[in-house]
Amino acid sequence: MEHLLDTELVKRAQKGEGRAFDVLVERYQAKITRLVYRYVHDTDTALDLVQDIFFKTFRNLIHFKGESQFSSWIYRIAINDCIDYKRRLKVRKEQSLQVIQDRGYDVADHRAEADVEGIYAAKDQRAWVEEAVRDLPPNQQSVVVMKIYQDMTFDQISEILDEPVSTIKSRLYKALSNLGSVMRRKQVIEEGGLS
Amino acid sequence: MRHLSEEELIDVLMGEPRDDERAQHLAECPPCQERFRLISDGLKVAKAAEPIIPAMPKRHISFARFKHRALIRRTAALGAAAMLVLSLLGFQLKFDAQGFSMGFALFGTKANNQEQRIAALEERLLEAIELNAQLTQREVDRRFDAVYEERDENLGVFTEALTDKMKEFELKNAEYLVTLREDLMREARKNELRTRQ
Repeated sequence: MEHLLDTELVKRAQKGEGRAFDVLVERYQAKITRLVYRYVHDTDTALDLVQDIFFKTFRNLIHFKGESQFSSWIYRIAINDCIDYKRRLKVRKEQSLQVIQDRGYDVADHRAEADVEGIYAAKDQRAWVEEAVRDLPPNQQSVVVMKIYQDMTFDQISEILDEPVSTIKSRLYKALSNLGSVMRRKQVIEEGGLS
Repeated sequence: MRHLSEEELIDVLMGEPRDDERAQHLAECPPCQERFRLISDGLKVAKAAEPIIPAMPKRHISFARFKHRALIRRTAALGAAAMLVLSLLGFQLKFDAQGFSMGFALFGTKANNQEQRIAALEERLLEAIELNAQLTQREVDRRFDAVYEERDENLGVFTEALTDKMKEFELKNAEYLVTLREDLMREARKNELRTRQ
């Protein structure tokens, strides 16, 4: 069964043939895990999300009509799950920040000893670039992950996100401009610090 | 002279497809060069931030397991719905150390006076509320997510408009910088000539 095309496997899985679904899982599990890890940067979260993505695939497989490729469809589920995860994380962060403020800590404390995050960032040269990518809006980050890290073509990304190629390119431009601006600000700060 | 669009600059950066006319324009247009340098720097940052994927254990995912999970979920949802309906119909459902038990009491048989009837009604109402809360939790979460999604979309539209405006300024600024640099060069050349004379 391993030699069958995705479309055939999907048809068989829709009829309840468990082995066909298992072959699809074997075919895509590693790819989806890599994509998700590049988005969330955490092993446990990535593994949980992958499990969730395949469960959603399983539940919705019956509705898959084959209008797009199966790979695009499952990647779309994965990207949407990652974006949802990031949104939930953001809400939780905002709530934690509110708790800190409610307890009377000043989050706008710019003293050197208060800037714990900054101290760690200075220790790790890699930290600021990772942070810059993580801080991108979710729709820009997903294009960066798919185009630059997963090396997908613009047509593939367009099919996965169901948006025109021009929109994807424009989004990549915005993402890279944002990252470029972060790099310049960083350079200005470092040069200012040296003088 | 028409400047290169965002998509065209991305095409040049990613090398797809190769277009000599664009390359020529880029070689001759300082504002476009400045925008191109910015996204090239962005690409360097993105590449530098590429996560190194660690070895991860493969979780066992299979059709049989998911079928079982889906069945449990469906049974739980149906059970909760049935309990809610029964509770609203007047059945009293209890789940304690002795196990699950169910009773039925019609108004007026168990509750003989007005106060008892009100208390019985309140109890049933509370049970119904509790069961309903469990059922609606998922729906609440979904709506909560939808509100945030809408907020993000609105923010996205606003950010896009703002970015376009900034791009406009950026372009004007790049053009102004080029003119300024040319003026400075001209001035420097004049000074040099004067010094020689």
